[in-house]
Amino acid sequence: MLAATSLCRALLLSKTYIPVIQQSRTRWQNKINVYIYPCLEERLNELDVTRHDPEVYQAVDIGLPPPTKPPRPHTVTQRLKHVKNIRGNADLEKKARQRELLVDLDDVESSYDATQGRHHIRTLAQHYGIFTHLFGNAYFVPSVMLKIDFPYDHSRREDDVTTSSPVYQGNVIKPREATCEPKVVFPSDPEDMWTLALTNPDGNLVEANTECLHWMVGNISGSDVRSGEVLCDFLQPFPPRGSGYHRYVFVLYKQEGRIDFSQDKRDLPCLSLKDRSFSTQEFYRRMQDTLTPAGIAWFQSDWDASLTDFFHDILKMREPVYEYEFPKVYVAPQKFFPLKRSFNTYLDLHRDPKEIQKELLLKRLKKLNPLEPEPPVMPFPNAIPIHPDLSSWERREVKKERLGFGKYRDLYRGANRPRV
Amino acid sequence: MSRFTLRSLFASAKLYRCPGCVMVSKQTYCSSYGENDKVIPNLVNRNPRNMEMLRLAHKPQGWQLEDSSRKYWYKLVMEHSRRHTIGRVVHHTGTTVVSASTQEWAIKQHLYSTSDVSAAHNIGRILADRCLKSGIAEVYTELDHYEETSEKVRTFLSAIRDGGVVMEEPEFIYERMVDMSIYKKAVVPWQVTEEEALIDSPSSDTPTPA
Repeated sequence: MLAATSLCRALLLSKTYIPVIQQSRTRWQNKINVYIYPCLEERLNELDVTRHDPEVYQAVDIGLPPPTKPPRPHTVTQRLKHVKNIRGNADLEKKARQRELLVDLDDVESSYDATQGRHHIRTLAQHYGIFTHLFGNAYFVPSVMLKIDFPYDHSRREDDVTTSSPVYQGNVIKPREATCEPKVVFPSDPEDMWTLALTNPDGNLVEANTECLHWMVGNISGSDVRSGEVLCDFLQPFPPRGSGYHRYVFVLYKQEGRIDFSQDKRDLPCLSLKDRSFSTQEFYRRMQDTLTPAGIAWFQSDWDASLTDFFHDILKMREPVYEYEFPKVYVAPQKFFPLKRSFNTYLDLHRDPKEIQKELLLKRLKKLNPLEPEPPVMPFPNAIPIHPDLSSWERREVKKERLGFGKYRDLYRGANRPRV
Repeated sequence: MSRFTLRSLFASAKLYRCPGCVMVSKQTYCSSYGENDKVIPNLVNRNPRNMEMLRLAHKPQGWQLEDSSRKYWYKLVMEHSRRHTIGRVVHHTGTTVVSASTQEWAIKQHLYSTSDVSAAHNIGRILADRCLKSGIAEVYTELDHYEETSEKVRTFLSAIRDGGVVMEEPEFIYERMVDMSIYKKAVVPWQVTEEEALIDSPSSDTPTPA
């Protein structure tokens, strides 16, 4: 509750406080009015609203209290004993001197998870902007370590190799590897109740600034996820083509007791993207008296070819294709008679790029036969003589076209392009 | 937080490219779209790491006469003193994203010494493992200057390379590089499919398809 009140206060203040933008300023120094020019860092600090009242804008810890540690003197004596044993171990010394001492990575990981690993996960989650986009101005240090594994769907693969894709903190998993419901393992007392949610804060295709809910199971008793009540069934990741890497975040909440989730329950199977729109912040605000985030794990995923069928067959939609919008390049206003510029490139500079693309596409389609595969490009395209009657700029254009340079890049597709 | 806007192709015409439309079997689906078909024309990918992974995020340029370069997203740093060996991966904003150190009890309890060459080797292995688990596969490093003179650095770097982390970061793509007037237009990552990239890589022996 305390967390929510300070969050509300922070939001209210951010709307009322508007930073003053002052272009230049002066100061009286030895009876002289001196101009002050603050550097960029100083100006940015001045404009930073959060510096105005740091207490209000400080992130709120919404996690479980840290686990109780054994008393420090006890651990220290135990560790010193262990170190002493190691120093007397002749075998280990021999291995170390011969550079054959290889530490077992799984052992290190398990004891790291028990000691500092949870703080590392928090740092990484902040680095990935997960707390900001899921919980706003709040964070938590995970107290439960999630072990998540996507098993391969064997019906889709020809060879029967038993592999799986584990989820850590931001590793990349392709959509075709994550078609099945993942196996989630976490340590728990048999009486404890949990809620598990998988959301994507980057890929809501129907609503901006919200998340897409991929999976949600409530009232999980103990560590058996299958015992829980499925609030939203599992849907595989579907980052659209061209939109880059999306984060898929698993959050495990600890429940105070059994919760009535009738408000969050969706009709199964839920295949409507509108129904899957979700806001973790809104959900957590509503449930914060009974839910506490305890564990987190996430992976990243980008488009692959298997998604085309998924969009058509399962989501019943055309496949959306996005493209990054680069900032506009400045082009000087067109002159009637530009000096020292070749006229063809200068005119292209001021033409609509879509028009040029269309022209080139038509040129490409003219050469192609739809019933045959595309003929391979020649190994030395510029070895063919160019007609001597052509002028120098025409010859240059022909050469560029053959090599696929500049605007002519679009004449060739895929791997079938001249190698330069 | 770095935001970036994606524009759907043919946004003005409110049409999306649908490769399946060409095929007869898919036409049934395309003629009966569900309610999902109304997608937003401008999608904002809020993932702050996405820009770096697509090579679109700017790297700080630094100054030419500086001792160490600032042109990186992630930098690999190693510190070895008489007592401890520490490996770090630092983001250019100053955050230490991943680290492995012999000060950690999880590592220290398995080592004979916390400062010898085998400690450096194991720190390298553990750091590479943690990097891959955190989604970092490429790092910039200046440690290769000391590779010939220091055995610790050499073993550390080779352990990281064997762990699967590449010691080189790609150049970033800026708007002028994809401009139509540029002689050699840059290839943007999202236009290259996985299959094409595998064909173009020198390791594969498969010939280019006709």
